[in-house]
Amino acid sequence: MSASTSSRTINRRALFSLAGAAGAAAAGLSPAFAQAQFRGRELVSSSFGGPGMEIMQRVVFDAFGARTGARATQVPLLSAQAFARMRAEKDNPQLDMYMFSGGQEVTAKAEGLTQPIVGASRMSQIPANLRDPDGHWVVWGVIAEGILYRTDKIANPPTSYADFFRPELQGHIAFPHITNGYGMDFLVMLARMNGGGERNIDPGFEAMKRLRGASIFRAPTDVQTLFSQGDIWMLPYDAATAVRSNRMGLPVAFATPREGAPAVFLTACIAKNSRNAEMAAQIIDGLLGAESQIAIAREVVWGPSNPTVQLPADIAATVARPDQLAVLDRDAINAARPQWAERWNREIAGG
Amino acid sequence: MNAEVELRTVSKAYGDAYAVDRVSLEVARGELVALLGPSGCGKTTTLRMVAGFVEPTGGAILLRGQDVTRVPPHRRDTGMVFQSYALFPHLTVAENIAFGLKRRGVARTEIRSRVATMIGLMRLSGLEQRLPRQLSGGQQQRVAVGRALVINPAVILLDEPFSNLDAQLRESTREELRRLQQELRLTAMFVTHDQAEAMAIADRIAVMNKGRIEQIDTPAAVYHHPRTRFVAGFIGRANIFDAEVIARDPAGVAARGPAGITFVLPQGDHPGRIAVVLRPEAIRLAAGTDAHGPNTVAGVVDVVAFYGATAQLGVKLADGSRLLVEGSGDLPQRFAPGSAVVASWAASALVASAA
Amino acid sequence: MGGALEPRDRRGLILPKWLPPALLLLPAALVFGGLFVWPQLGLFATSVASPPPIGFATYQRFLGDSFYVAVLVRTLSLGACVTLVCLICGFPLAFFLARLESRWVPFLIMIVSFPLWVSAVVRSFAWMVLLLRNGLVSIWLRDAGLAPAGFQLMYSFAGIVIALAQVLLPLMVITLYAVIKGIDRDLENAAMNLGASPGRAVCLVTLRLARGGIFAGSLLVFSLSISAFATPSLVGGATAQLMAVAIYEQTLEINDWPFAATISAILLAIALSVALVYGRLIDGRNVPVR
Ligand SMILES: Nc1ncnc2c1ncn2[C@@H]1O[C@H](COP(=O)(O)OP(=O)(O)OP(=O)(O)O)[C@@H](O)[C@H]1O
Ligand SMILES: [Mg+2]
Repeated sequence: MSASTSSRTINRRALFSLAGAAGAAAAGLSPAFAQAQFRGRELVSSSFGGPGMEIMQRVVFDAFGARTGARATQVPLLSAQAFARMRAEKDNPQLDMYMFSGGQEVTAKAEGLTQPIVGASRMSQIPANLRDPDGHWVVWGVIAEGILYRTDKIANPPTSYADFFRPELQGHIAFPHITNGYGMDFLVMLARMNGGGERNIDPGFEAMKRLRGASIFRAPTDVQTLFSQGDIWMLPYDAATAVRSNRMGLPVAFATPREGAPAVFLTACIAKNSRNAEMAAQIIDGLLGAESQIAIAREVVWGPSNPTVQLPADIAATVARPDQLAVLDRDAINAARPQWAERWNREIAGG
Repeated sequence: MNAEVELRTVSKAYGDAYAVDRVSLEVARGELVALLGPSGCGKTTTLRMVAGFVEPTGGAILLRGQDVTRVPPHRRDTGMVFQSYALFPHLTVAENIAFGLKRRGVARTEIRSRVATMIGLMRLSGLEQRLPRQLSGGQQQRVAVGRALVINPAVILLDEPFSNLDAQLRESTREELRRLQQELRLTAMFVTHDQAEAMAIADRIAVMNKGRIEQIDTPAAVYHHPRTRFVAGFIGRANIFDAEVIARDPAGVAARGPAGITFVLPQGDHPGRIAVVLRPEAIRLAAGTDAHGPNTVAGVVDVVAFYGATAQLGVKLADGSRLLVEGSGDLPQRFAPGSAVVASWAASALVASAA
Repeated sequence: MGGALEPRDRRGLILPKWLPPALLLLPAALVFGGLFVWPQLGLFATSVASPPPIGFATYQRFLGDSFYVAVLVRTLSLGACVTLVCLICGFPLAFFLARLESRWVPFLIMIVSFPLWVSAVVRSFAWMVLLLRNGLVSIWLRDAGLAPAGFQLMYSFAGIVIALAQVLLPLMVITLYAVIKGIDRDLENAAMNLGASPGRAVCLVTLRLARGGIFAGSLLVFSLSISAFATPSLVGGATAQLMAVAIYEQTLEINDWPFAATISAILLAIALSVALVYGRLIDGRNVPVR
């Protein structure tokens, strides 16, 4: 299975290379003694793969390596697989640092798999709701979800999740499987729209059942294929995929639904018994810096989590504004995930 | 002629190479014809063309007067015994023998009786329910023959049927097959590279070389009157000399050979250069050093081989070549290695063939 | 090993008779034991530990739930369908290759094995283009009147069967090829000589003698298709409610390891028993496999 067929995920299709190579000087964040301290050591982090990983490698990981003489690398892992590995290697972690997109960091902290991030000074710039109160994890990027649609097939752009039920669109709708995080969020948003929510999911299931003729897909790569085949006109996904589809020449646009764009938070945390915790903290600090946050927003359309970062105007337009985000109760969703997944398999997949 | 099988200038080419080259042959009813020749001369290919497994690239094949050149194997009336026997390993002896009858839609009761008869004829009683791998080589061979015979084919085709048997069994099986063939008046074509085997059981032998038939004749004729040097060399043992005709008269032909030998042959229509064939058993030896006149030569005994009833001597001639002599078992006592001898033979023992 | 011949090392030391075979088996045994048997035992232990220390609650949950029983049945029928399709398509192809006298045969076999060279993702992507509503295959089926309007093979059981059969066909063909190649061609000739048409000759002789290969190939294809994950989930989407997919979801999405272990154990047990029963059936007369 490839890293790109994932739950909350992050595609790896090639992008245009960065216009200007990342500047040589990384922001001065490391005390001088660190340079000698980390020389020859090796840090490994999980990552989401794809262009996002490449950018982070260049802007943060390699820069850290150059500065300290250490080696810092990433391995692509789906969030769920990364979490399974974190659990399995609990006592002797092979990965020092983990990146999650499905809220696994909360469970990880609860199970005692993480440790506080100490020495990342930019942590304090991050709003309180985007980091753990005890400093075990921090959000470094935000993915905005919404509605992707074919601009050539749909004359009046969708503005709400209710548009999925427009009669003229029947047979032209697709949505992701529940094991894909966007599929889960779509279910929650349908519930919210019909008077329910994270704690009352029934209306979501009822609404989803009315989409019976829709194509249900698992792989993120299916999005482009579905759109390019001309048969599917609308599906719930993220802004980054819309931008990417557009760059591939597909007439696809992103619409932020009236009900709010569910946000997916990209987080980083440090494995409990990691021997390289200080190095990991510096890497995380780098991820929160302006250079990294802007580069990622430009290339993969993941919004910044650091409010002190000023996005250039051209990028700001493609990234959802904070007031357009719908913040979902990830704890509730994670807690209910197993039941919902089972129920979804029975009631929606039509088994 | 009332031929059961007829081949008319049949050829088989693989690319540029001819495996079989314009072979013509007739097999009469009740006749056993052996295809004899060295490895790779096209015997198997010829037989397989008759069975229909190999399609000729030229010529025609007739079975009982019908042109079957383009008829697929299962509609030809031939019974093949394969060199490897090709018994169906998953079927019992009885089922193997019944196979062809079933395909022909013969009634079950009749199948049963014909299979039983064949089992008796092939001396396989008691082995009916065995699988082929539970049989000895000889038994397997008899099943293969029985399986081919039971369908009463126009011709039975045997490809080296004895080659997987040991020497003793080979001889008895061979005689048995010959007896069966004569009793049932079977028409048969039989492939072998063993000239003794062909001589022993064939009515006629077709000697093949490089895809062609060099001579087709009775065993005696092939032996005594080889038409080509190849046939002479291939059938039995022979001393073969290159010679040049030096004189002809009504009484005979004189030719000069190697080592100062002058051959005098019975009259014949021979070209200038000929190959003279002299069978080893036609040579008489006497002690001495002087050879006078035609059809004699002097030499020294250099090798001796004793076989019991018979013995063979090698006599070294003046030019260094060796003359093979075969005679009764007392030859080695009379002529020890090193003794000088004079060899002579009757003119009638000589056969000239094309050089 | 001949009783009289004791293996000796160079200095003439007599080694115990069991040692050389044991040494030869050691690497495979270590790899197999360490990487397969041991984890399987761990898996099994996990599956029978709810409630702890020993309990079969997860088995009861699986077998008592018609949803999971349906998943199991669907998985087995998928295996059966894929195996059947591979046999029907694979035998003639393997037979053709085995009987072809050409120096291109290795090249042709390479072409046949091509699907194995392509990653599941790329292959499934190609199938998607063909099987979606606007894809060629779906359009053909609709045009031929074999499927209703709006029909698509993508995200359907039939789509999964097609995609899996395509990947696994090479394994069937290569297995059968080796076996058919080993069957003396003269057996078919003998059958024809005795009056069987070519088709009947193949049925009566080759097909029977290739039973070992048919068994091996079917088992290979069956076990790989019931445990396949990537292709079914990519091509089947939500309809891929299969054992392997359920294991994946329970392990990675739902985090219920004991239940995942139970599903794995059941899948393994079924695969093994199918192998045994099928082996008995096909090997009815104990014909040696060549
Ligand atoms: N399928 C084939 N393709 C190319 N050449 C072939 C083929 N079959 C036979 N030949 C060639 O044709 C010639 C005759 O072969 P054939 O099998 O008839 O010989 P044979 O007289 O039966 O020899 P042997 O005594 O060794 O069985 C050989 O040179 C052989 O290499
Ligand atoms: Mg031969």
